[in-house]
Amino acid sequence: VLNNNMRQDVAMRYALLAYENPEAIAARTDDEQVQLLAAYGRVAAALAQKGAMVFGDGLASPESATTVRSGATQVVYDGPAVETREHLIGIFVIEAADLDEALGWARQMPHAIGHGSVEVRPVGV
Amino acid sequence: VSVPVFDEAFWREARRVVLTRILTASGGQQAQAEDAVQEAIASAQQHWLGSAPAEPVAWLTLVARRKLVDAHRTEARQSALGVSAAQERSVPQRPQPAVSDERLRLFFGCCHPSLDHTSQVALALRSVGGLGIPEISRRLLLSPSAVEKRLGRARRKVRDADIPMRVPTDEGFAERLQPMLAVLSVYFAEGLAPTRGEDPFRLPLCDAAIGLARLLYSLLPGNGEVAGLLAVMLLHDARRTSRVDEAGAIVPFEKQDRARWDLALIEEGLDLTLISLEATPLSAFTVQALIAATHAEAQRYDLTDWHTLARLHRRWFELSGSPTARVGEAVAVLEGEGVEASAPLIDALEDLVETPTLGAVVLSLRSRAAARSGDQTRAAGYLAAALDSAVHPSDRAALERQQRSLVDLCQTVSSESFGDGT
Repeated sequence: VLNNNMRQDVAMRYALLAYENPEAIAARTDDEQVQLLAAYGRVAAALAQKGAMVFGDGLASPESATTVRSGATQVVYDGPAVETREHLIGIFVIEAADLDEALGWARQMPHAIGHGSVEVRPVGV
Repeated sequence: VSVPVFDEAFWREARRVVLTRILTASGGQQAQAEDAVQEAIASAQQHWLGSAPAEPVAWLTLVARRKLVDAHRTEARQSALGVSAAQERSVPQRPQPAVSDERLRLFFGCCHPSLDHTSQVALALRSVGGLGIPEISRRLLLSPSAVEKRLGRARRKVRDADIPMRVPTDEGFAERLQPMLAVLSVYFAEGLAPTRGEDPFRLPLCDAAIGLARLLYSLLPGNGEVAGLLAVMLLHDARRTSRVDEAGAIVPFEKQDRARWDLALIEEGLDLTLISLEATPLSAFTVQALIAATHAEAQRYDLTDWHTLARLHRRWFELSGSPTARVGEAVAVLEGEGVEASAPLIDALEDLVETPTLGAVVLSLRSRAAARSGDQTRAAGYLAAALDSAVHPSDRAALERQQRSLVDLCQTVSSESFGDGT
């Protein structure tokens, strides 16, 4: 278990999923929104500079979501797939050497600092 | 938790209790002991303005003892001029095992914050510590299959998320401290009461755990939790030589020859207990150190301060929710106040009967209480049930030696602790 460095040279891909509770989103002023986006811009620029950025963007609110659910008959309905206390509001996909490096980027994201939380998941297992 | 009022009555009572506890250490010299207690109280009255330590009487006892030891040293120096200060200060120590720095690094590596606490501890013990599933399951109070499942999941996550097993940077240290302390205490506990094998101890594990705890303390000097853990280890290790008789058989706690306890280790353990007591907030390790210190302060088994032990176990439970602490409280009340007073506490342990390993201790405690009240039939029944539920050979052996003390029995089982009376 201690020798999982075989993929050392091959960068892993990680999804950084930003979550925030809806009250905080609703309470944000336009100025604050601009500041938040600027803060994300700085993280994205740093990622790009390291060549670590694969994709990153914010998501529109869950009310704008449409879900296609499997079943006896496939159903399309209005709303997100899962109702959660915190909403998924942004996705970054990055390349990193290992989880610690990915966590290092996650810690810099505004939602890990003062707005909510950032979930880190390996992509493509 | 009641907050004591520091009035006249408190100081009078504290003076009496502390004096009783340290008289042994003074070699019966009452005047010196009284001076030491007086100095400790004066120091407390000066320093406690605003914030008294969590366990005031324990604090006074430890400080008074410290003053007494210092007084003895000064006296020795005056009567034997020519002894260099360095020689005088050097406490006789057993040879220290070579500290395996690499092992500490690897342990830290396994305690990655992306794994949950139990998985961190299990992974470190299995992958680095070399303990098997039976040992880990017994120590973490989990079934073997639950441990396997945890380990499997942890390993998959390490692989899939590519979790690096490296030593953390400075800020990463703090978030890995809790699992590290748990790993070291399990390691030590397993050395004191091995799950498998014929030997009563696995001393290399004890030595390694103490060495690593010392190293950790040198990295985090003054840290209350590390000081507390190291204190517990030393206070238990001080009894090492009295644990087995010449034939190699285990000597029950009640019957140990306390004159053979290692006084230098006890002294060091008590000093660390004081350091840990002065740190805030009060940690569960500090309370465990106080429990071990209470045993160390009793000159004979029948002088054990069970009332304090019962209170400390309650405190431990409040801090950590430890099921072992509940069992320890029931033991202390049974020993200190008798069958009737302990009955409600023992009855309340019903929910632990099914817990792996700890369940056998609860049944055995019931058996002991029944025997004390003269009901040998019920006592035998509970003992049989305890044997039935004991999975590990060493637990069965301990149960079969019913003459072995409850204090030892608890100690063999738990995990979270190796505490006497726990």
